Amino acid sequence: MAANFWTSSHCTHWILDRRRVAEAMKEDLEYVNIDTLTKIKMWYYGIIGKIGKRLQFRQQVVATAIVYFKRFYTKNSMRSTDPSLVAATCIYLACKIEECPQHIKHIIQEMKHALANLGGFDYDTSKVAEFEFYLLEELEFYLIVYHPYRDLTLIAKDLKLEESNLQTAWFVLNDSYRTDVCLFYAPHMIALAALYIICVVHAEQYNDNNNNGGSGHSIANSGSSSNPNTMDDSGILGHNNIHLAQLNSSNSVIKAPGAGGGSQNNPTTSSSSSNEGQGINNRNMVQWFADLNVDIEEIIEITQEILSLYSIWKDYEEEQVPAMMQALKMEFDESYELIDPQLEAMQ
Amino acid sequence: MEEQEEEEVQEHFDLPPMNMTEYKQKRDSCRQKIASKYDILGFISSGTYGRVYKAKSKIKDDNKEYAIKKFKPDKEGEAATYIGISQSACREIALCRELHHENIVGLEEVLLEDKSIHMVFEYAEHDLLQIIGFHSHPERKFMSEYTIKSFLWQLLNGVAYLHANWVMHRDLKPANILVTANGVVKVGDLGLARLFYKPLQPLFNGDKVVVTIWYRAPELLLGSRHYTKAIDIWAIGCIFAELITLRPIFKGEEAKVENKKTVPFQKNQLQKIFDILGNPTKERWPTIDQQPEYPNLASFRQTPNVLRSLYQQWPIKSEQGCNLLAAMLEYDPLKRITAEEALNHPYFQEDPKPGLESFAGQPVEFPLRRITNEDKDMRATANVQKSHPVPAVKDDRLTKRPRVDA
Repeated sequence: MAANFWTSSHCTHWILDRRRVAEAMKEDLEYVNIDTLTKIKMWYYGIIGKIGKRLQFRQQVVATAIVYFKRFYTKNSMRSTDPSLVAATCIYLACKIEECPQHIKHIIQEMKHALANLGGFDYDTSKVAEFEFYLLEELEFYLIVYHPYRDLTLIAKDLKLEESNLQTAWFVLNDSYRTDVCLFYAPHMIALAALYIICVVHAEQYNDNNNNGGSGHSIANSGSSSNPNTMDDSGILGHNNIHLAQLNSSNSVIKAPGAGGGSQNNPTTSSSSSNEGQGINNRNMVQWFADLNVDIEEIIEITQEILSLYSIWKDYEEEQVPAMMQALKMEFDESYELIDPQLEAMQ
Repeated sequence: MEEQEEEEVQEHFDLPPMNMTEYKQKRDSCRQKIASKYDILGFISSGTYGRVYKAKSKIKDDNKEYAIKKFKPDKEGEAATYIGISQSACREIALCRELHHENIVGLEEVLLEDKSIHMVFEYAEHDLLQIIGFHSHPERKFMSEYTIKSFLWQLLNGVAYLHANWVMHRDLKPANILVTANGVVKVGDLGLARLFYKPLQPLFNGDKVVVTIWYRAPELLLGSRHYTKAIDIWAIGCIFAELITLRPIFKGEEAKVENKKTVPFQKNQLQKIFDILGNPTKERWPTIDQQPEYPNLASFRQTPNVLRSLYQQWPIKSEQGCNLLAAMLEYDPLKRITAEEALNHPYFQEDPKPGLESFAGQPVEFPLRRITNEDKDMRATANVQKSHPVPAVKDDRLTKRPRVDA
C-alpha cells in the first residue's frame, strides 16, 4: 500500500472510467453546460484551497480533500446535493486522515467565512459530523490517497532539475487538482505530465521568448518559496500569470516526442545550446520522455487536460458563480409550477 | 438522519435551499442492515473505542466467524455533541482497508448503522495475553519453543510488512496480538498505527504517549520527538521475553499523568529496564545525550547488564535466541535489529523451525474466547455458545490505550 501504489485502493478502486464520471454529471448538465459545471467545481476547489491556506494546511491535505470531493461527485450530481456541505466534510475528514486533525468548529467557521457571499453555510457541528458517515460510505471507506508531489520530487532529484523548474512543476500539479486527472491517471503519470509541461511544452515557449529577446521569465519566478516542502497551494493560476494559458492557444497541438513532431515549430536545436546552464535542455528532455517506459500518449492526454484548464480559466470570473449555481440549483418546485399550468391546459 | 423539517427551514439568501433530505433517504434506503448479514453471537470486550462482538455470516456457504468492532461515537462537551468519527477509527479504517497480509488481521468490510461505524474483522479465537494467562494459571507451565518461535516469527513477519509499507503500529502488546484457532498470528488493533513516510511534524506532536508502558521503548521513555519504527521492535522483544517466562520482562509502574500538557518522566519503568540491561551509556547509545530526558539519567544507580545470565535461567536454551532478544532490546534505536533482519536471524534457522500452525504438537487445549450475552447494545441474535471454562481475563491491558490526548 503506502510503499506500493499498485496494490493500493487508489490504484485498484479509484482510477476510474470516464464514462462513470460522465454518467454522474448527466443530471447537472441538464441545467448548465460543461464549462459552467467545470467552473462551479473549480470554485469549490478554490474554497477548499482557501480554507487550507487560512488554516495553514500542507498542500497534501488540501489535495486529499479535493480528491474526496471529486470522488463523491463521481457518484452524485451537484444539483441533488449541497457541495458546500460536501466540501466542509471532505476537509474535516482529510485533516484526520493526513494526521493534522482540526476541530470541526474551525472548519465550520471557515466555511461560513468563505461562503459569506454565496448563501452562507448553515450547517452546525452535528450536521457535518453526520454527513461524514455518508462521505465515508461514498468513498467506500478507501481513504488513503496518493498524490503526484512525492513522485515529482523524486523524479526532479533524479533529473537534477533546477529548483525554479521544480517549483513551477509543483504549481502545475496544484493546478491539476482543478481538473479531473487525479480520477483517471496514476499520480506518477500526472507528475510526469507536469514535468512535460514545464520541460518540453513550456521550454519551447521559453526558448521562443528568449530568442525573441523576451526579457524576464515570470513563471519560473512565480513563487516566493524555494523549498518544495513549503510550497503550498499556489498554482500558476493563483499568480496572475497567463503564460501557460497563452501557451495553450499558441501551441495547441502538442506532439508526442519522438513521434515525428519535433521538426516543425521546434526551435530547440538552435536554442538549447544557447540555454545551457538553464537546467532545461529541451532536446534532452524530449529524449528523456521518449525513453521512459511509460505510455507517452497518456502523458500527452494529461498535459492536454491540464492545459485546457488554463483556457477555461481565462474567462472564469468568480462573480459569475452565484448565477451559475442558481441555474444549476433551479428549484424543483418552480419548474413544476412552470409545467403544471401547461399540463392542466392540456387536460 | 431524519432532519427533514429542519432542512426545509434552511435558507440561503442567494440560492434555493439545498435540500439533502432526498439524498440521505436514497442512501439510507439502500444501506444493508447488519442483522441481515450477520448473526451476533455475543459480546467479547469493550474499551475506550467501543465494543467488540462475535458474529457469524448469514450467507449459507460462509461458515466463517467475525469480530465486529462497533465504535462509540466521538462526543464532546457536556451536551455530548457528536463530532464525527474518532482519529483512532479513522486510522484503523484507512490502514486496514489497504493492508492485506496473512499476519495482519483482515478487515472484511465496514458498515454504518445506528450512527456508528462497525468494522467487520476476521475472527481470531485467541490472543497472546489470553494464551500467556492460560499458561500462567493456576500454575506456570511454559510454552514449547516451537510455539514461541512460531508466534515470534509470524509477529515479525506481520510487522515487517507494516514497516515495509511505512506503517508504525505503536501499540504492540500481547493483548493486541491475535491468534487464530489454527495458531496463525494476526497483528490487530491498528487504532494507534500511522504512516511515517516523511511526516512534516515530529510524530510526538500528534500523540504525546504511544505504546503501553511495559512495552515502551527507551527512546520514548526519554522523550524522543522523532522516534522510528524501531519502537515496534522493542515491544516485540518484550513480548518475546514474556512468551518465554510468562511474565512481563519490564513490569514498571506508570507515573500518572498530572495534566494533559506535560508527559511525566517514567522513572520506575526505566529502572526496571536498567535492572536487566544495565544503564545505557554513550558507548551503547551514542546519541543518548540528545534525548530530552537525558539529564534525568544521572539520578539512577549503576547496574550491570544481566540479560544473558538471566536468559540462562529461562526454559529456552538456544544461544541464538538470546542473541536475537538482545538485538531487539538494543538501547540505540539505530542499532536495534529491524523486522526484516530479525526474520533472517540464525535463531529461525535452528530447530525447531517456526511454522504457521503455532500450536502443532502442543498437548494443551486452549479455552475459547469467552463471549457473553449480557450486552444490551447489539443483542445477540443467535444462541451464545456455551464455551467458557475460564473467566475472561480481567486485565487493564486489554482495553487501555497508551494515550493522554484525544
